[in-house]
Amino acid sequence: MNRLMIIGAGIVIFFGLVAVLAPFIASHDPGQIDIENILTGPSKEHILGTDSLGRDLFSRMVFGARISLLVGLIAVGISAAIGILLGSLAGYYGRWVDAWIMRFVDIMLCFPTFFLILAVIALLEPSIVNIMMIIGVTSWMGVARLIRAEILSLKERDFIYAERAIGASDIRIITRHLIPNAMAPVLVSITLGIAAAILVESSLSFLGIGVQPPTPSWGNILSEGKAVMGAAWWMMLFPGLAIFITVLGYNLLGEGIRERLLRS
Amino acid sequence: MTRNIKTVFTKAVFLFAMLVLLGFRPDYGDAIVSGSIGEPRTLVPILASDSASGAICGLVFNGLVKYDKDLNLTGDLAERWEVSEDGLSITFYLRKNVRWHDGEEFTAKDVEFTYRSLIDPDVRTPYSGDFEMVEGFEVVDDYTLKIIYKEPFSPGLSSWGMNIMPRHLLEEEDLNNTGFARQPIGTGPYKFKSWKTGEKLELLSNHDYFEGRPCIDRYIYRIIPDQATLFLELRSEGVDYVSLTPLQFERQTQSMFFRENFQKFRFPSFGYTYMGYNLNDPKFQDLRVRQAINYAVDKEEIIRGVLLGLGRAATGPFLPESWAYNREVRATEYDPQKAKALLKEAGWQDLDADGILEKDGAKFSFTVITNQGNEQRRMTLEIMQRRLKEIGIDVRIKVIEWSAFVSEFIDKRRFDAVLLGWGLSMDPDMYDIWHSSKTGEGQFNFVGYSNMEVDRLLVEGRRTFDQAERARAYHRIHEILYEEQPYLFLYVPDALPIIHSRFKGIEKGAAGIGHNFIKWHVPRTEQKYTR
Repeated sequence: MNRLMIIGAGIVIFFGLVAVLAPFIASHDPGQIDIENILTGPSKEHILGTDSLGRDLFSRMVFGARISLLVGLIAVGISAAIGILLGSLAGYYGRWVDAWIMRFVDIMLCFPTFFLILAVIALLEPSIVNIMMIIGVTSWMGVARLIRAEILSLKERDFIYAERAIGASDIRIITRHLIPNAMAPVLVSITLGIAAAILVESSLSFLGIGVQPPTPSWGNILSEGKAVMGAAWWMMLFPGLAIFITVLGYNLLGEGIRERLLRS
Repeated sequence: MTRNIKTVFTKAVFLFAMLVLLGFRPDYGDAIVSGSIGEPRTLVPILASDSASGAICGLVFNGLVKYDKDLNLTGDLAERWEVSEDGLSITFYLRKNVRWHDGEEFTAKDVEFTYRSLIDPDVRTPYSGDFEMVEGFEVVDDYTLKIIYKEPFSPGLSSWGMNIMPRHLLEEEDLNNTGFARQPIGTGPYKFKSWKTGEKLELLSNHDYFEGRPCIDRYIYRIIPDQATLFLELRSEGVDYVSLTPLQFERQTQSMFFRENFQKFRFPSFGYTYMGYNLNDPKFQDLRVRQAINYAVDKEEIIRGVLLGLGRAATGPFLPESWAYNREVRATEYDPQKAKALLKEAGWQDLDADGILEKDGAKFSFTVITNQGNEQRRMTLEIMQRRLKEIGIDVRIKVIEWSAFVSEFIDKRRFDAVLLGWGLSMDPDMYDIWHSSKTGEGQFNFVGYSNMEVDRLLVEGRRTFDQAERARAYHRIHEILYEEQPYLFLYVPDALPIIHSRFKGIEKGAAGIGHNFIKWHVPRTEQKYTR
């Protein structure tokens, strides 16, 4: 067992729990404005200090974990769904289906994803749902390629021929036999994808076009922190650390899974 | 005659004494680097409506008249003027030997051209309102012109503070779409040199300026679209002159470094911040709803929380110092109970107990839009959002980049409510903002306010020169607007400029600090940018 992978899994589980149990962990109402205590440093009352409206930073971070992780998970869910669907169609049917889908993948890969996202957000409104959708539909290409490659080799195996011989439909073969067997590398890609999605959400919120106030997300807390950089170090340090550690956690976990797959 | 000589003599002695006392003579040279988050939209002065464009145009161009440091009108391109007894005509006597930056001579023809452009319906200027009252425009000779009004028009004189444009360069041009917008030629103390989009503008001092050569040789306007980055630049002395945020003023500029290297100023700004309702929206048409929101928002909390006390509550569209301001209008106290009662009276009730009021099956929910880059506005909205939630109103916030904000949302009326600020001119005439005829696309009454009495008073207020009479009209307008709440009036923020301490000669007057900019100077030994 890889030690780094355990650390990664630990971090992922820890932040997952924080997000789920946010209402119990938070010491204050994350929206409670207190203008008598604007930008006070870490103290007993506010263990991570307060923000520019006197709100408790710790509580906002805890609730921010919900948003950041939720965006990560759902965005990756969307991208995995699209990727698996298109990838398996391309891999299984081959020929012109494959050609068209893979050319489409190539086209999508031509765009720098982040600028594509910026362009789409300029057209739509920035909201949590839109952010998740946009990240999802702009990041499925890797999964599609992986699934396709796996299926290309799997479909030549004997058990698939056997299945076909007994008259199983294409849908059954794809969903029951090919996709489950092709999932391992996809799992790695999904884990790494969550880390990437969390970063993208943070970047967008940091730029002010992601999750809108007053909903806290790590990215927009960080963005507020930048505005008060000289006066309140805690406003940038803690959300920055949270993003860093979470992304690190998912990356370690993903790498760990990959290594185990390679070995087996 | 002797008396005259005597005064000249005393003046000379006094001046000499001053010079000896203060130990300086004007030092030319150096550059001032000002930093701002906004980029000018256009440098055609009659089209410029944002503060960045205004700042540059103010240095490159002149009007016929201007305000001095005590807010009195004084001559600029006009040497003097006469207003006829009936108030119907103004005769301006222009300065002679004023030259445009390209060497052409400035004459009354240029003023005429500027006037014709202002009233040309094809030119998209927001300032036409003041000039539509002109009936006759007569160029008597190159240096004399006579303006005749249809009826007495009190803001008339100050409206000629409008920057004058060169006829010889623009006569053949389409003003809406001319290269001049990025390469202006004026008569002002600074000449335009260059403009790198998204980076900076550079102006050079006009050695032949009619009020004397400005002391500072170069004016560099850097565009840094983020308050935090701007502050870091200030700290590394990459910029000399910025407007601080209240937080920066109170908490980040107290150190030894700032006290030694910078001078801070604080004075009331000429503007106020408000939330405007879209009055075409049925839920905001109910006066009780607007009053309820006024009761539910604690203005003092916003001033203390967002401005850190560096500002005052606004009760109407006039500056608290102005004679037009009605001191009888008292701000209502924060009173959520009263707000709830008013909403109930208006038929808004929380029937499904989710904390949000409903009426006829619709939830009381609306979106407030504001522009990006202004942290104070976002914070104000977050505080208001919280307070309105307490009385059962769901407020959503949308922050939009400035140019899309104006062209897509304000001009096209696509908003429920908007958080914005107005900069105010010295004359209290606000016909363009409140008159019911000014609700068209691109015009300033974008909330769609219409009140016959206000319309009448606005016209009355601009029709007489008698200040007491005008004050009566404006006091009544102030009362009505506070009662009717077409805007939720929030606060008048203080202006908080900070300037590098090597600049001397800065004088704070009622009009702020910009009035004697051409006299600001840096002693030779302290000059930083020398070439």
